[in-house]
Amino acid sequence: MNDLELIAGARAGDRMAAHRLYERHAPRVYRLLYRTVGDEEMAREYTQDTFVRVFQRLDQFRGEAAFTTWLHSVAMSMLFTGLRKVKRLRSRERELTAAESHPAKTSLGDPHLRDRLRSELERLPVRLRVPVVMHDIEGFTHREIAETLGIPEGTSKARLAEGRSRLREALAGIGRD
Amino acid sequence: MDEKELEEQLAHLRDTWRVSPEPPLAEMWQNIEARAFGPPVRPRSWTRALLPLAATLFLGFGIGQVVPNLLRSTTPVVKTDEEAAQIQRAEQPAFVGVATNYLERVTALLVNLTDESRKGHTLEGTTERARDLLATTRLLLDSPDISDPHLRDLLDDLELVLAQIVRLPRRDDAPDVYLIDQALDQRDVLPRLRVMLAENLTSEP
Repeated sequence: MNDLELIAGARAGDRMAAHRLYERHAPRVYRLLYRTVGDEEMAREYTQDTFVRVFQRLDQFRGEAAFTTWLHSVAMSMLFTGLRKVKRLRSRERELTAAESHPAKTSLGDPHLRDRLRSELERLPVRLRVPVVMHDIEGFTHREIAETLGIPEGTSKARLAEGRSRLREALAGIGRD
Repeated sequence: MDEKELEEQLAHLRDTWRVSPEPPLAEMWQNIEARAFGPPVRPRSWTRALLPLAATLFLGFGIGQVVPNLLRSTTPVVKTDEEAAQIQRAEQPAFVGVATNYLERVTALLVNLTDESRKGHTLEGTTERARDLLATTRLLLDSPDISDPHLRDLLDDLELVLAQIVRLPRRDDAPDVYLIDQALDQRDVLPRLRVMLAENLTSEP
């Protein structure tokens, strides 16, 4: 059965159809949320909130966009609303990282490079980090990102470029030593 | 580092950075099912245990159906729309009362939260009040008396905002509620609350 058939079933009260829809899409939603928040409990919580909202509002899905796009946009909405907690967590993580890390000479072959990149990625503001994670790591297209976040495609491209630019700036000098 | 090198490094993170563990699908589904669809369908073995409850509900439902009809038979014939509205309002005093009280409490909480946090003051008891209001929100959402779609939408948004407030960490310093503020602004929650509250108060018998 395809998504539309399962959605029709779920709308008609078929809980098995709803469950199949969930099983089909939950892993990707969970993975994206986990990538963005970096916390199992929060990823689970936001995934649950996302599907509860989706099933409660399934009647509002008109099929104009792909179900996955709508689903991910709900997930992002849940995420942004709950990010205050994540912000604090990230802040604590950065403090820990700063305390544990030692200034290191890095180069492309240096094992510290990826640690630095991870750290800088987590430092990016959410509005830039999400497009970078979605595009460069999760493989979403700009169109999908734009529809998911409710922004124009050009804005998605601009935010990705700005995010990458900040990463490059932060990692400037690496590899020249 | 140039663009190409950065892209390569980012692509490498796909397999190494925040790789999610296996999602707890079954556990999450239990939570989702309970919240989105109500209690799961019980297996047959529960039927016997639920029979007395079902009988009670049936009896209650029957009484609920019969008694208002008996009462209505003694009420005068409705002549105008205004009279009909008055009767309808009189039939829902409990819900209106609970909803009004709830709207007042939630307005007070949100106004207090935004004002005090901007001043950097401590918000003692906020989480507990929000948790209490969240429970009331869900009860109201489940109430059969809720027919106003605007109220339902507002309750949906309030459920989301209150859930976020409940998650605020317990700290001595005032929490940064920027994102909650943002959610309140984007959804026009407070203006809608005030309108709904005003309408409810003026519609009380």
